[in-house]
Amino acid sequence: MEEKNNHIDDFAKKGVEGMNFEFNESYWDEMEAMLDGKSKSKRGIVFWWVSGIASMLVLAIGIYFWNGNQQTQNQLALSNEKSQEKLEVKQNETEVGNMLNPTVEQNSVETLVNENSTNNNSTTDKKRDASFDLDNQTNKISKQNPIATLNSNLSSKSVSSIGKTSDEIAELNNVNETQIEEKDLVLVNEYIQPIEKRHISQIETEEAHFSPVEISGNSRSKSIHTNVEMIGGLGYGMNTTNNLNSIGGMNGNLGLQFNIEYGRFALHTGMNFGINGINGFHFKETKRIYGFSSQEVVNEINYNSMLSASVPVYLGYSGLKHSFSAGVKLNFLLNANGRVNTWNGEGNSTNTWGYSNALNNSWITAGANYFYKLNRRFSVGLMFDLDLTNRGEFSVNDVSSDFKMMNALVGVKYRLN
Amino acid sequence: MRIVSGKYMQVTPEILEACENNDRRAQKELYEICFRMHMSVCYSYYGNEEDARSALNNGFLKICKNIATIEKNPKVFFSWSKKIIVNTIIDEYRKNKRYNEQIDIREYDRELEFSSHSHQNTGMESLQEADIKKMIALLPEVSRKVFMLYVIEGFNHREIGEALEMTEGTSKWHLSIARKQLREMIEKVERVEEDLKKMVI
Repeated sequence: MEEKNNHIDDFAKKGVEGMNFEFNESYWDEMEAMLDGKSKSKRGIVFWWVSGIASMLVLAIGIYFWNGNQQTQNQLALSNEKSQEKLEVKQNETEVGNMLNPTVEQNSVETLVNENSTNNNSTTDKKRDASFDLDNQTNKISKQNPIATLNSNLSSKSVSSIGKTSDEIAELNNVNETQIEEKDLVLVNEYIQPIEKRHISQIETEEAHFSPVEISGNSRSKSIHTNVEMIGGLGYGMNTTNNLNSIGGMNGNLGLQFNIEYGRFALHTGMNFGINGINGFHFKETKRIYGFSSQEVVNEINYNSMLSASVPVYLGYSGLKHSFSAGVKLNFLLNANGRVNTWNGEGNSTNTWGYSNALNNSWITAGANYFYKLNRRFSVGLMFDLDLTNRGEFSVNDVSSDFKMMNALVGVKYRLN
Repeated sequence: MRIVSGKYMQVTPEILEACENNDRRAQKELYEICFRMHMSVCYSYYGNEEDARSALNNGFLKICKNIATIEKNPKVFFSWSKKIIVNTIIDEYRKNKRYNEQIDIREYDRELEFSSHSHQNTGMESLQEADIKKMIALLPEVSRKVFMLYVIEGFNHREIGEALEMTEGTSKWHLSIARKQLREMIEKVERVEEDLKKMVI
């Protein structure tokens, strides 16, 4: 009986293994709808939760900003009054000095005016020159079709080329990317059709040449997807206004990014919190003291921390591994903690002599990001910002200058859903 | 690339990695591969294409969800994906099962002996895969599932009992019923062939 059962069992195994089913494109449409439905239902819940939290944050920040604006204006009026009083005192002292020694150099105000009017980034001030150095960073951006592979003429590793970018394939084959021509790329249909024509069990188990293919066009579904990412960056920022000779400082940001994807394109928005570190704005002047000696005085305005919130609106384009986005950000100042140092060659001192400043409560920046996808969750990349409108206006002894910044950061993104 | 077996020939680590990144084109490719690999198994459990495809689709959803957890090796993927598909079929059966019979094993052991035949079915060799497919589809639903799990997947009766929430005795009963019915169908085919031969002569 056991032998008989074995015959029946073998008979059934033979039947099951030999079954042949033809694949139809409509089967994939059905499956794709299930994949979209499942991801939408999961993401939808997270998306609405995060959107709700973000909306509350924006509202809270708006209220804080509106209240803070009232206080800043009051403080600024008081600061201007004090500065004006001190300026009058110093001018009186200078006039006395000039009367004692007619050959005295121009007073500090006129010196500053002359320096600024020539718009000279003084070569004599090595500290200023050094502060304008900016690291040049180049991004390797693939300009070819983001997913491609080569036919066997170029690559002996052609099968492993599937899913690679054309520059990666060029590297794989030790050729220059420009050497890859259209004829080297094979359309994806040539890959699918051979599979349809034969069944798996009919394929000989011997070495076979497996023609690689190009997976061209849009590899993503033509439906809208949403996801949320946490984004953070650390970098360097510097002033871009020539009238102010400044050094840069560290900055960082952290926030949430909401992505609405359609094919390879996406709309990115969200909420970020940024902090700009030490920034110094130097105003060099020569001051006559007691009418006999001159002394270089350097005033430095430092903002130890400038806390801000921003709402970006970026448009993005992404491939399998690389993604680019660019757009504008609306920024709000949350808090600024600053001080003035004055070096007079005899030690530091802090004062508010001839100094007034105002930071705007909001400003607009233009930005661009590049990210490289390490895996489904993590991406690393570079972020650039450039202020389009002023962050504020600085003035020393009635000489004022606008204040704009440029930032470059190394960023990390972590996908939450 | 040397082809070791036709079953997982088209599955490459690149496709598996792309699917992990939710690349839709790669998912489509993988779905087609899974369709060709596992549709026959699903059909054997359900007996009709619609239910079989539904089970395959549910299984593929789980495959896409958990693909990050496996090694990107075509051989590993084949056995892993098959296990997922079979488990999906079992889960769906447990969700939808209509009966939970308790059968005394001793009573039906005697029936099995009585119904056994001493000779090998000669008609088996002449049958095509399509015929076998139809025969398996004609089996009762639960018996068919037990038969598939035992014969094709290699489950023992204890494991089948746990999977399908039945006793070992019930599992054995269903297996014997499935074998008996298959045998009867083959005998019918033999009789028809003999009659045809006589007519020709």
